[in-house]
Amino acid sequence: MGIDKMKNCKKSYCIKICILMMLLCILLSACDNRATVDNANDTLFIEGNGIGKQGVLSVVSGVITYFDYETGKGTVLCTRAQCMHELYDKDTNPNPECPAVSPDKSPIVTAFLANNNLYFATEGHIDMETGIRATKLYKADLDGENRVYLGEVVYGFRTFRSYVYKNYIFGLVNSIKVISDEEGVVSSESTLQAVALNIDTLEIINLSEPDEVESDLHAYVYDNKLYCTFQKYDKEAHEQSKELRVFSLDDFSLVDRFKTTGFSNIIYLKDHMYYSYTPDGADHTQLCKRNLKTNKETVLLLIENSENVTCGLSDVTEDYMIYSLLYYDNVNPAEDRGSFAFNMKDNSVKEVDFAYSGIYARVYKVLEDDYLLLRFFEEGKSAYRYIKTEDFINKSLDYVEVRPF
Amino acid sequence: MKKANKILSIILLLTLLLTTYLVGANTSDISYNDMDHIVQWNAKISISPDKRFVIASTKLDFVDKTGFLYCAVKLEVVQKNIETDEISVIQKSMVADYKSYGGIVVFADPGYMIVSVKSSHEAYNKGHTRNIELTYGY
Repeated sequence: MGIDKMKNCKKSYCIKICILMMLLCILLSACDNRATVDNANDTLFIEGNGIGKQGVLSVVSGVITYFDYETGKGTVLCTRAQCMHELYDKDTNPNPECPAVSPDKSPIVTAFLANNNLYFATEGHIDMETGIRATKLYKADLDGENRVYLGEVVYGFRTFRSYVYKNYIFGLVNSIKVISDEEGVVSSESTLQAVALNIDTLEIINLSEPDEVESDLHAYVYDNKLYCTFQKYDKEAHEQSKELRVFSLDDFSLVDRFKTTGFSNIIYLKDHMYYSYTPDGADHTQLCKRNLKTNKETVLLLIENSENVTCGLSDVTEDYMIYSLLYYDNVNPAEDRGSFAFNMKDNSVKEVDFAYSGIYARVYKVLEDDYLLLRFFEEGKSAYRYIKTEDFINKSLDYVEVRPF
Repeated sequence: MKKANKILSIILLLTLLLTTYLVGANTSDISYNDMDHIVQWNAKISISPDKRFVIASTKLDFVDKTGFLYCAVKLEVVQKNIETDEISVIQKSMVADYKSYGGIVVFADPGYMIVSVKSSHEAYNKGHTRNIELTYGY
Protein backbone atom coordinates (compact mmCIF):
# COMPACT_ATOMS: atom_id res chain seq x y z
CA MET A 1 0.00 0.00 0.00
CA GLY A 2 1.45 3.41 -0.99
CA ILE A 3 1.99 6.11 1.63
CA ASP A 4 -0.66 8.39 0.00
CA LYS A 5 -3.21 5.61 -0.12
CA MET A 6 -2.44 4.74 3.50
CA LYS A 7 -2.86 8.41 4.48
CA ASN A 8 -6.21 8.62 2.62
CA CYS A 9 -7.39 5.42 4.27
CA LYS A 10 -6.43 6.76 7.72
CA LYS A 11 -8.14 10.10 6.93
CA SER A 12 -11.30 8.34 5.81
CA TYR A 13 -11.22 6.16 8.96
CA CYS A 14 -10.85 9.24 11.17
CA ILE A 15 -13.80 10.89 9.40
CA LYS A 16 -15.88 7.74 9.99
CA ILE A 17 -14.93 7.78 13.69
CA CYS A 18 -15.89 11.46 13.92
CA ILE A 19 -19.25 10.81 12.23
CA LEU A 20 -19.84 7.87 14.58
CA MET A 21 -19.01 10.04 17.60
CA MET A 22 -21.35 12.80 16.37
CA LEU A 23 -24.14 10.28 15.83
CA LEU A 24 -23.56 8.89 19.31
CA CYS A 25 -23.69 12.36 20.83
CA ILE A 26 -26.99 13.02 19.04
CA LEU A 27 -28.38 9.68 20.19
CA LEU A 28 -27.23 10.13 23.77
CA SER A 29 -28.79 13.55 23.96
CA ALA A 30 -32.08 12.46 22.40
CA CYS A 31 -33.95 13.39 25.57
CA ASP A 32 -31.66 16.29 26.09
CA ASN A 33 -33.11 19.19 24.10
CA ARG A 34 -31.53 21.94 26.16
CA ALA A 35 -34.09 24.58 26.96
CA THR A 36 -35.75 26.51 29.68
CA VAL A 37 -39.33 26.42 30.89
CA ASP A 38 -41.70 29.30 31.29
CA ASN A 39 -43.28 30.48 34.50
CA ALA A 40 -46.82 29.65 33.38
CA ASN A 41 -45.98 26.19 34.59
CA ASP A 42 -45.39 26.86 38.27
CA THR A 43 -45.53 23.60 40.19
CA LEU A 44 -48.90 22.76 41.73
CA PHE A 45 -47.61 20.19 44.19
CA ILE A 46 -44.59 18.06 44.85
CA GLU A 47 -44.96 14.34 45.32
CA GLY A 48 -41.52 13.05 44.46
CA ASN A 49 -41.81 14.91 41.15
CA GLY A 50 -42.93 18.52 40.80
CA ILE A 51 -46.35 18.32 39.15
CA GLY A 52 -47.22 21.37 37.06
CA LYS A 53 -50.09 22.49 34.85
CA GLN A 54 -48.16 21.78 31.65
CA GLY A 55 -45.45 19.36 32.67
CA VAL A 56 -43.60 17.54 35.39
CA LEU A 57 -40.19 18.34 36.82
CA SER A 58 -38.25 15.26 37.77
CA VAL A 59 -34.75 14.37 38.91
CA VAL A 60 -33.61 11.69 36.50
CA SER A 61 -30.41 9.99 37.62
CA GLY A 62 -29.45 13.13 39.52
CA VAL A 63 -30.21 15.52 36.63
CA ILE A 64 -33.15 17.98 36.79
CA THR A 65 -35.32 17.24 33.78
CA TYR A 66 -38.60 18.77 32.61
CA PHE A 67 -41.18 16.59 30.84
CA ASP A 68 -44.03 18.35 29.07
CA TYR A 69 -47.40 16.63 28.91
CA GLU A 70 -48.06 17.38 25.25
CA THR A 71 -45.07 15.44 23.94
CA GLY A 72 -44.05 13.37 26.96
CA LYS A 73 -40.44 14.22 26.13
CA GLY A 74 -37.80 15.21 28.65
CA THR A 75 -35.62 18.32 28.56
CA VAL A 76 -32.58 18.69 30.79
CA LEU A 77 -32.67 22.09 32.52
CA CYS A 78 -29.28 23.12 31.18
CA THR A 79 -28.64 25.46 28.27
CA ARG A 80 -24.87 25.11 28.24
CA ALA A 81 -23.47 23.79 24.99
CA GLN A 82 -21.34 20.66 25.21
CA CYS A 83 -22.38 20.10 28.86
CA MET A 84 -22.53 16.42 29.76
CA HIS A 85 -24.43 17.09 33.04
CA GLU A 86 -21.77 15.32 35.07
CA LEU A 87 -22.58 14.59 38.69
CA TYR A 88 -20.32 15.15 41.66
CA ASP A 89 -17.38 12.83 41.97
CA LYS A 90 -14.76 13.48 44.61
CA ASP A 91 -11.94 12.56 42.21
CA THR A 92 -13.10 13.52 38.74
CA ASN A 93 -15.74 16.22 39.31
CA PRO A 94 -15.50 17.70 42.84
CA ASN A 95 -17.20 20.98 41.79
CA PRO A 96 -20.01 20.20 39.36
CA GLU A 97 -20.83 23.20 37.19
CA CYS A 98 -23.85 21.95 35.26
CA PRO A 99 -26.93 23.93 36.39
CA ALA A 100 -29.07 20.78 36.26
CA VAL A 101 -27.12 18.76 38.82
CA SER A 102 -26.35 19.06 42.51
CA PRO A 103 -23.43 21.38 43.31
CA ASP A 104 -21.97 18.84 45.72
CA LYS A 105 -22.19 15.24 46.84
CA SER A 106 -25.69 15.63 48.33
CA PRO A 107 -28.17 14.23 45.82
CA ILE A 108 -31.10 16.35 44.66
CA VAL A 109 -34.25 15.27 46.49
CA THR A 110 -36.75 17.25 44.43
CA ALA A 111 -37.11 20.22 42.09
CA PHE A 112 -40.02 22.59 41.52
CA LEU A 113 -40.98 25.87 39.90
CA ALA A 114 -42.38 28.78 41.86
CA ASN A 115 -42.63 32.52 41.39
CA ASN A 116 -40.80 32.46 38.07
CA ASN A 117 -37.85 30.59 39.56
CA LEU A 118 -36.49 27.09 39.71
CA TYR A 119 -36.02 25.71 43.20
CA PHE A 120 -34.41 22.45 44.17
CA ALA A 121 -33.60 20.70 47.42
CA THR A 122 -30.69 18.45 48.19
CA GLU A 123 -30.20 16.05 51.03
CA GLY A 124 -29.53 17.78 54.36
CA HIS A 125 -28.54 16.47 57.76
CA ILE A 126 -30.70 14.51 60.17
CA ASP A 127 -31.12 15.95 63.63
CA MET A 128 -30.71 13.00 65.97
CA GLU A 129 -32.58 14.71 68.81
CA THR A 130 -35.66 15.76 66.90
CA GLY A 131 -35.52 12.96 64.34
CA ILE A 132 -36.21 15.49 61.58
CA ARG A 133 -34.49 15.20 58.25
CA ALA A 134 -33.52 18.50 56.68
CA THR A 135 -32.90 19.57 53.09
CA LYS A 136 -30.71 22.25 51.57
CA LEU A 137 -32.69 24.62 49.38
CA TYR A 138 -31.43 26.36 46.23
CA LYS A 139 -32.99 28.93 43.93
CA ALA A 140 -32.06 29.60 40.29
CA ASP A 141 -33.36 31.14 37.09
CA LEU A 142 -35.69 28.99 35.03
CA ASP A 143 -32.75 27.79 32.92
CA GLY A 144 -30.90 26.72 36.08
CA GLU A 145 -28.37 29.59 35.86
CA ASN A 146 -27.60 32.10 38.64
CA ARG A 147 -27.98 29.51 41.33
CA VAL A 148 -28.18 30.77 44.92
CA TYR A 149 -27.92 28.62 48.04
CA LEU A 150 -30.76 29.70 50.32
CA GLY A 151 -29.93 27.57 53.34
CA GLU A 152 -30.98 24.44 55.17
CA VAL A 153 -34.58 23.89 56.20
CA VAL A 154 -36.07 21.31 58.55
CA TYR A 155 -38.46 20.16 55.88
CA GLY A 156 -38.21 16.86 54.03
CA PHE A 157 -40.03 17.01 50.65
CA ARG A 158 -39.75 13.24 50.69
CA THR A 159 -42.70 11.27 51.87
CA PHE A 160 -45.71 13.52 51.89
CA ARG A 161 -47.22 15.78 49.30
CA SER A 162 -46.11 19.43 49.40
CA TYR A 163 -48.30 22.15 47.89
CA VAL A 164 -46.71 25.10 46.14
CA TYR A 165 -48.38 28.50 46.24
CA LYS A 166 -46.37 31.58 45.27
CA ASN A 167 -43.47 31.68 47.71
CA TYR A 168 -44.95 29.14 50.10
CA ILE A 169 -44.82 25.38 50.51
CA PHE A 170 -47.59 23.80 52.57
CA GLY A 171 -46.89 20.31 53.85
CA LEU A 172 -45.83 18.07 56.70
CA VAL A 173 -42.63 17.91 58.71
CA ASN A 174 -41.91 14.32 59.61
CA SER A 175 -40.07 13.47 62.79
CA ILE A 176 -39.08 9.87 63.57
CA LYS A 177 -37.77 9.28 67.07
CA VAL A 178 -36.87 5.96 68.66
CA ILE A 179 -38.64 5.76 72.02
CA SER A 180 -37.41 2.35 73.07
CA ASP A 181 -35.44 -0.47 71.55
CA GLU A 182 -35.81 -3.86 73.21
CA GLU A 183 -33.99 -6.68 71.44
CA GLY A 184 -34.45 -5.06 68.07
CA VAL A 185 -38.14 -4.32 68.41
CA VAL A 186 -38.28 -0.59 68.11
CA SER A 187 -40.98 1.58 69.51
CA SER A 188 -40.68 4.69 67.41
CA GLU A 189 -42.63 7.88 67.57
CA SER A 190 -43.37 9.22 64.14
CA THR A 191 -45.01 12.60 64.29
CA LEU A 192 -46.22 14.84 61.52
CA GLN A 193 -46.64 18.57 61.87
CA ALA A 194 -48.39 20.77 59.34
CA VAL A 195 -46.30 23.77 58.33
CA ALA A 196 -46.04 26.62 55.88
CA LEU A 197 -42.50 27.10 54.58
CA ASN A 198 -41.55 30.44 53.06
CA ILE A 199 -39.11 29.42 50.33
CA ASP A 200 -37.52 32.86 50.14
CA THR A 201 -36.95 33.60 53.83
CA LEU A 202 -36.94 29.91 54.91
CA GLU A 203 -39.24 30.81 57.77
CA ILE A 204 -41.37 27.88 58.93
CA ILE A 205 -44.79 28.64 60.40
CA ASN A 206 -46.45 25.80 62.31
CA LEU A 207 -50.04 25.18 61.27
CA SER A 208 -50.58 22.43 63.83
CA GLU A 209 -49.13 20.89 66.94
CA PRO A 210 -46.97 17.79 66.40
CA ASP A 211 -49.10 14.69 65.82
CA GLU A 212 -52.33 16.58 65.15
CA VAL A 213 -52.33 15.27 61.63
CA GLU A 214 -51.52 11.88 60.15
CA SER A 215 -51.82 12.23 56.43
CA ASP A 216 -51.80 14.57 53.45
CA LEU A 217 -53.11 18.12 54.02
CA HIS A 218 -55.02 18.44 50.70
CA ALA A 219 -54.15 22.13 50.81
CA TYR A 220 -55.93 24.71 48.66
CA VAL A 221 -55.78 28.49 48.50
CA TYR A 222 -58.90 30.54 47.81
CA ASP A 223 -59.67 34.18 48.52
CA ASN A 224 -56.42 34.69 50.44
CA LYS A 225 -57.26 31.76 52.70
CA LEU A 226 -55.54 28.41 53.08
CA TYR A 227 -57.78 25.33 53.40
CA CYS A 228 -56.22 22.21 54.97
CA THR A 229 -57.65 18.85 56.02
CA PHE A 230 -56.41 17.57 59.36
CA GLN A 231 -56.93 13.85 59.45
CA LYS A 232 -56.18 11.56 62.35
CA TYR A 233 -57.22 8.04 63.25
CA ASP A 234 -59.79 7.85 66.02
CA LYS A 235 -59.02 4.59 67.80
CA GLU A 236 -62.38 4.48 69.59
CA ALA A 237 -64.55 5.23 66.59
CA HIS A 238 -62.32 3.16 64.29
CA GLU A 239 -62.43 5.80 61.62
CA GLN A 240 -60.55 8.82 60.46
CA SER A 241 -61.40 11.91 62.43
CA LYS A 242 -61.27 14.81 60.03
CA GLU A 243 -61.38 18.54 60.39
CA LEU A 244 -61.10 21.31 57.85
CA ARG A 245 -59.07 24.26 59.09
CA VAL A 246 -58.96 27.57 57.32
CA PHE A 247 -56.01 29.94 57.80
CA SER A 248 -55.53 33.53 56.79
CA LEU A 249 -52.68 33.83 54.29
CA ASP A 250 -51.72 37.18 55.81
CA ASP A 251 -50.50 35.81 59.14
CA PHE A 252 -51.57 32.14 59.11
CA SER A 253 -54.00 32.70 61.96
CA LEU A 254 -56.83 30.18 62.18
CA VAL A 255 -60.00 31.82 60.87
CA ASP A 256 -62.37 28.85 60.69
CA ARG A 257 -62.59 25.14 61.40
CA PHE A 258 -65.27 22.49 61.08
CA LYS A 259 -65.56 18.73 61.39
CA THR A 260 -65.52 16.74 58.19
CA THR A 261 -65.49 13.27 59.74
CA GLY A 262 -67.31 10.89 57.41
CA PHE A 263 -66.35 12.93 54.37
CA SER A 264 -64.28 11.46 51.59
CA ASN A 265 -61.19 13.43 50.70
CA ILE A 266 -62.09 16.94 49.63
CA ILE A 267 -61.44 18.14 46.10
CA TYR A 268 -61.34 21.85 45.36
CA LEU A 269 -62.22 23.47 42.07
CA LYS A 270 -62.39 27.24 41.72
CA ASP A 271 -64.84 28.53 44.37
CA HIS A 272 -66.23 25.16 45.48
CA MET A 273 -65.17 22.15 47.45
CA TYR A 274 -66.50 18.72 46.52
CA TYR A 275 -66.80 15.57 48.64
CA SER A 276 -68.91 12.52 49.31
CA TYR A 277 -70.62 12.09 52.64
CA THR A 278 -72.78 9.50 54.36
CA PRO A 279 -75.08 11.01 57.02
CA ASP A 280 -75.24 9.10 60.32
CA GLY A 281 -77.64 6.16 60.11
CA ALA A 282 -78.46 6.76 56.46
CA ASP A 283 -78.28 4.01 53.85
CA HIS A 284 -77.30 6.43 51.15
CA THR A 285 -74.18 8.38 50.29
CA GLN A 286 -74.36 11.82 48.80
CA LEU A 287 -72.06 13.66 46.46
CA CYS A 288 -71.92 17.28 47.54
CA LYS A 289 -70.41 20.60 46.71
CA ARG A 290 -70.01 23.53 49.04
CA ASN A 291 -69.51 27.14 48.05
CA LEU A 292 -66.35 28.42 49.70
CA LYS A 293 -67.67 31.97 49.86
CA THR A 294 -71.22 31.39 51.12
CA ASN A 295 -70.61 27.99 52.79
CA LYS A 296 -73.82 26.76 51.17
CA GLU A 297 -73.88 22.98 50.60
CA THR A 298 -75.63 21.47 47.60
CA VAL A 299 -76.33 17.75 47.31
CA LEU A 300 -75.64 16.76 43.72
CA LEU A 301 -76.31 13.03 43.73
CA LEU A 302 -77.74 10.44 46.12
CA ILE A 303 -76.19 6.99 45.89
CA GLU A 304 -78.88 4.68 47.30
CA ASN A 305 -78.41 1.41 49.20
CA SER A 306 -74.87 2.19 50.19
CA GLU A 307 -74.74 0.48 53.56
CA ASN A 308 -71.12 -0.59 54.23
CA VAL A 309 -70.10 1.20 51.07
CA THR A 310 -67.53 3.98 51.16
CA CYS A 311 -67.18 6.46 48.36
CA GLY A 312 -63.76 7.76 47.39
CA LEU A 313 -63.53 10.89 45.33
CA SER A 314 -60.72 10.85 42.76
CA ASP A 315 -61.10 14.31 41.29
CA VAL A 316 -63.53 16.85 39.89
CA THR A 317 -63.57 18.51 36.48
CA GLU A 318 -65.81 21.34 35.27
CA ASP A 319 -68.41 18.74 34.28
CA TYR A 320 -67.67 15.54 36.17
CA MET A 321 -67.15 14.14 39.63
CA ILE A 322 -65.11 10.94 39.35
CA TYR A 323 -65.64 8.57 42.26
CA SER A 324 -65.19 4.93 43.30
CA LEU A 325 -67.33 2.72 45.51
CA LEU A 326 -65.94 0.15 47.90
CA TYR A 327 -67.88 -2.40 49.93
CA TYR A 328 -66.38 -3.37 53.27
CA ASP A 329 -68.27 -5.21 56.02
CA ASN A 330 -65.41 -4.98 58.55
CA VAL A 331 -64.88 -8.74 58.29
CA ASN A 332 -64.11 -9.76 54.74
CA PRO A 333 -61.63 -8.05 52.41
CA ALA A 334 -63.04 -4.96 50.76
CA GLU A 335 -64.63 -5.36 47.32
CA ASP A 336 -64.49 -2.95 44.43
CA ARG A 337 -68.00 -1.80 43.47
CA GLY A 338 -66.85 0.19 40.47
CA SER A 339 -65.73 3.68 39.51
CA PHE A 340 -68.02 6.27 37.97
CA ALA A 341 -68.17 9.69 36.34
CA PHE A 342 -71.13 11.77 37.48
CA ASN A 343 -72.03 14.40 34.90
CA MET A 344 -73.00 17.49 36.89
CA LYS A 345 -74.63 19.10 33.85
CA ASP A 346 -77.14 16.41 32.90
CA ASN A 347 -77.04 14.36 36.16
CA SER A 348 -76.11 11.18 34.30
CA VAL A 349 -73.73 8.58 35.73
CA LYS A 350 -71.40 6.54 33.58
CA GLU A 351 -69.14 3.73 34.78
CA VAL A 352 -65.46 4.33 34.13
CA ASP A 353 -62.56 1.94 34.28
CA PHE A 354 -59.13 2.92 35.57
CA ALA A 355 -57.68 -0.23 34.00
CA TYR A 356 -59.26 -0.13 30.53
CA SER A 357 -55.89 0.25 28.82
CA GLY A 358 -54.50 -2.82 30.53
CA ILE A 359 -52.68 -0.77 33.17
CA TYR A 360 -54.33 0.49 36.36
CA ALA A 361 -54.01 4.26 35.90
CA ARG A 362 -56.02 6.33 38.36
CA VAL A 363 -57.08 9.95 37.91
CA TYR A 364 -54.28 11.89 39.61
CA LYS A 365 -54.91 15.53 38.86
CA VAL A 366 -57.41 17.52 36.83
CA LEU A 367 -55.57 19.99 34.63
CA GLU A 368 -56.68 22.96 32.58
CA ASP A 369 -58.59 22.77 29.28
CA ASP A 370 -60.44 19.65 30.40
CA TYR A 371 -57.37 17.45 30.49
CA LEU A 372 -56.65 14.80 33.11
CA LEU A 373 -53.38 13.51 34.41
CA LEU A 374 -53.61 9.80 35.20
CA ARG A 375 -50.93 8.14 37.27
CA PHE A 376 -49.70 4.59 37.16
CA PHE A 377 -46.65 2.88 38.56
CA GLU A 378 -43.98 1.16 36.58
CA GLU A 379 -41.53 -0.82 38.69
CA GLY A 380 -42.49 1.36 41.64
CA LYS A 381 -41.90 4.64 39.82
CA SER A 382 -44.57 7.20 38.98
CA ALA A 383 -45.56 7.48 35.34
CA TYR A 384 -48.39 9.58 33.91
CA ARG A 385 -50.88 9.78 31.10
CA TYR A 386 -52.19 13.05 29.72
CA ILE A 387 -55.68 12.63 28.32
CA LYS A 388 -58.86 14.59 27.58
CA THR A 389 -61.56 13.93 30.18
CA GLU A 390 -64.07 12.75 27.57
CA ASP A 391 -61.44 10.45 26.04
CA PHE A 392 -60.80 8.90 29.44
CA ILE A 393 -64.50 8.33 30.06
CA ASN A 394 -64.88 6.85 26.57
CA LYS A 395 -61.89 4.55 27.15
CA SER A 396 -59.82 6.04 24.37
CA LEU A 397 -56.20 5.09 23.83
CA ASP A 398 -55.48 8.61 22.61
CA TYR A 399 -53.18 9.79 25.40
CA VAL A 400 -49.60 10.93 25.88
CA GLU A 401 -47.47 8.87 28.23
CA VAL A 402 -44.92 10.62 30.43
CA ARG A 403 -42.27 8.47 32.04
CA PRO A 404 -40.06 10.83 34.05
CA PHE A 405 -37.33 8.35 35.00
CA MET B 1 -2.41 0.22 12.76
CA LYS B 2 -5.96 -0.50 11.61
CA LYS B 3 -6.45 -2.90 14.52
CA ALA B 4 -5.21 -0.25 16.98
CA ASN B 5 -7.70 2.26 15.57
CA LYS B 6 -10.52 -0.25 15.94
CA ILE B 7 -9.55 -0.91 19.56
CA LEU B 8 -9.35 2.84 20.15
CA SER B 9 -12.83 3.42 18.71
CA ILE B 10 -14.29 0.56 20.79
CA ILE B 11 -12.70 2.06 23.93
CA LEU B 12 -14.15 5.49 23.04
CA LEU B 13 -17.57 3.96 22.49
CA LEU B 14 -17.47 2.05 25.79
CA THR B 15 -16.27 5.17 27.64
CA LEU B 16 -19.19 7.17 26.26
CA LEU B 17 -21.72 4.50 27.17
CA LEU B 18 -20.19 4.07 30.65
CA THR B 19 -20.33 7.83 31.23
CA THR B 20 -24.07 7.86 30.62
CA TYR B 21 -24.58 4.76 32.78
CA LEU B 22 -22.71 6.26 35.72
CA VAL B 23 -25.07 9.26 35.72
CA GLY B 24 -27.55 6.95 37.42
CA ALA B 25 -25.23 5.95 40.24
CA ASN B 26 -26.07 8.78 42.63
CA THR B 27 -29.29 7.47 44.09
CA SER B 28 -29.92 6.86 47.76
CA ASP B 29 -33.70 6.36 47.76
CA ILE B 30 -35.27 3.07 46.86
CA SER B 31 -39.02 3.11 46.81
CA TYR B 32 -41.93 1.00 45.73
CA ASN B 33 -45.37 2.38 44.94
CA ASP B 34 -48.48 0.54 43.97
CA MET B 35 -52.21 1.12 43.96
CA ASP B 36 -55.49 -0.55 43.30
CA HIS B 37 -59.12 0.34 43.91
CA ILE B 38 -58.63 -0.12 47.69
CA VAL B 39 -55.65 2.05 48.42
CA GLN B 40 -52.36 3.41 47.21
CA TRP B 41 -49.31 2.48 49.21
CA ASN B 42 -45.67 3.35 49.32
CA ALA B 43 -42.62 1.62 50.78
CA LYS B 44 -39.33 3.44 50.93
CA ILE B 45 -35.78 3.09 52.17
CA SER B 46 -33.52 6.07 52.10
CA ILE B 47 -29.79 5.82 52.77
CA SER B 48 -27.86 8.97 53.65
CA PRO B 49 -25.13 9.90 51.14
CA ASP B 50 -22.46 9.40 53.81
CA LYS B 51 -23.86 5.90 54.52
CA ARG B 52 -24.34 6.79 58.18
CA PHE B 53 -28.07 6.15 58.55
CA VAL B 54 -31.07 4.63 56.86
CA ILE B 55 -34.75 5.55 57.09
CA ALA B 56 -37.41 3.02 56.15
CA SER B 57 -41.10 3.79 55.95
CA THR B 58 -44.48 2.40 54.92
CA LYS B 59 -47.34 4.70 53.93
CA LEU B 60 -50.95 4.32 52.86
CA ASP B 61 -53.02 6.89 50.97
CA PHE B 62 -56.78 6.63 50.64
CA VAL B 63 -59.46 8.68 49.02
CA ASP B 64 -62.27 7.51 51.30
CA LYS B 65 -62.77 7.10 55.04
CA THR B 66 -61.20 3.93 56.38
CA GLY B 67 -61.23 1.36 59.17
CA PHE B 68 -58.52 -0.43 61.16
CA LEU B 69 -55.11 -0.23 59.55
CA TYR B 70 -51.46 -0.61 60.32
CA CYS B 71 -48.02 -0.10 58.79
CA ALA B 72 -44.97 -2.19 59.65
CA VAL B 73 -41.29 -2.26 58.73
CA LYS B 74 -38.55 -4.82 59.41
CA LEU B 75 -35.05 -3.63 58.72
CA GLU B 76 -31.74 -5.48 58.44
CA VAL B 77 -28.70 -3.25 58.12
CA VAL B 78 -25.22 -4.61 57.43
CA GLN B 79 -22.49 -2.24 58.61
CA LYS B 80 -18.72 -2.27 58.22
CA ASN B 81 -16.10 -0.89 60.57
CA ILE B 82 -14.26 1.79 58.62
CA GLU B 83 -10.86 0.87 60.11
CA THR B 84 -11.01 -2.88 60.65
CA ASP B 85 -13.54 -3.89 57.95
CA GLU B 86 -15.36 -5.90 60.61
CA ILE B 87 -18.93 -6.64 59.53
CA SER B 88 -21.93 -6.65 61.86
CA VAL B 89 -25.68 -6.74 61.40
CA ILE B 90 -28.34 -4.54 63.00
CA GLN B 91 -31.95 -5.76 62.94
CA LYS B 92 -34.88 -3.54 63.90
CA SER B 93 -38.60 -3.71 63.44
CA MET B 94 -41.65 -1.60 64.20
CA VAL B 95 -45.42 -1.62 63.80
CA ALA B 96 -47.53 1.54 63.69
CA ASP B 97 -51.08 0.53 64.66
CA TYR B 98 -54.01 2.66 63.59
CA LYS B 99 -51.71 4.79 61.49
CA SER B 100 -51.36 5.27 57.77
CA TYR B 101 -47.65 6.02 58.09
CA GLY B 102 -44.88 4.34 60.02
CA GLY B 103 -41.18 4.99 59.83
CA ILE B 104 -37.98 3.79 61.45
CA VAL B 105 -34.49 5.27 61.48
CA VAL B 106 -31.32 3.27 62.10
CA PHE B 107 -27.88 4.81 62.53
CA ALA B 108 -24.69 2.88 61.90
CA ASP B 109 -22.63 2.46 65.08
CA PRO B 110 -19.86 5.02 65.62
CA GLY B 111 -16.93 4.16 63.37
CA TYR B 112 -19.12 2.09 61.04
CA MET B 113 -20.70 2.76 57.65
CA ILE B 114 -23.69 1.07 56.07
CA VAL B 115 -22.88 -1.56 53.47
CA SER B 116 -26.30 -2.96 52.69
CA VAL B 117 -29.92 -2.69 53.77
CA LYS B 118 -32.84 -5.05 53.43
CA SER B 119 -36.33 -3.92 54.45
CA SER B 120 -39.64 -5.74 54.61
CA HIS B 121 -42.70 -3.50 54.49
CA GLU B 122 -46.24 -4.51 55.34
CA ALA B 123 -49.48 -2.58 55.40
CA TYR B 124 -53.05 -3.59 56.21
CA ASN B 125 -56.22 -1.82 55.23
CA LYS B 126 -59.83 -3.00 54.83
CA GLY B 127 -59.01 -6.70 54.94
CA HIS B 128 -56.15 -6.46 52.46
CA THR B 129 -52.49 -6.94 53.38
CA ARG B 130 -49.65 -5.74 51.20
CA ASN B 131 -46.00 -6.72 51.39
CA ILE B 132 -42.83 -5.74 49.63
CA GLU B 133 -39.14 -6.25 50.30
CA LEU B 134 -36.61 -3.60 49.28
CA THR B 135 -32.85 -3.97 49.19
CA TYR B 136 -29.84 -1.74 48.84
CA GLY B 137 -26.32 -3.05 48.30
CA TYR B 138 -27.27 -6.74 48.55
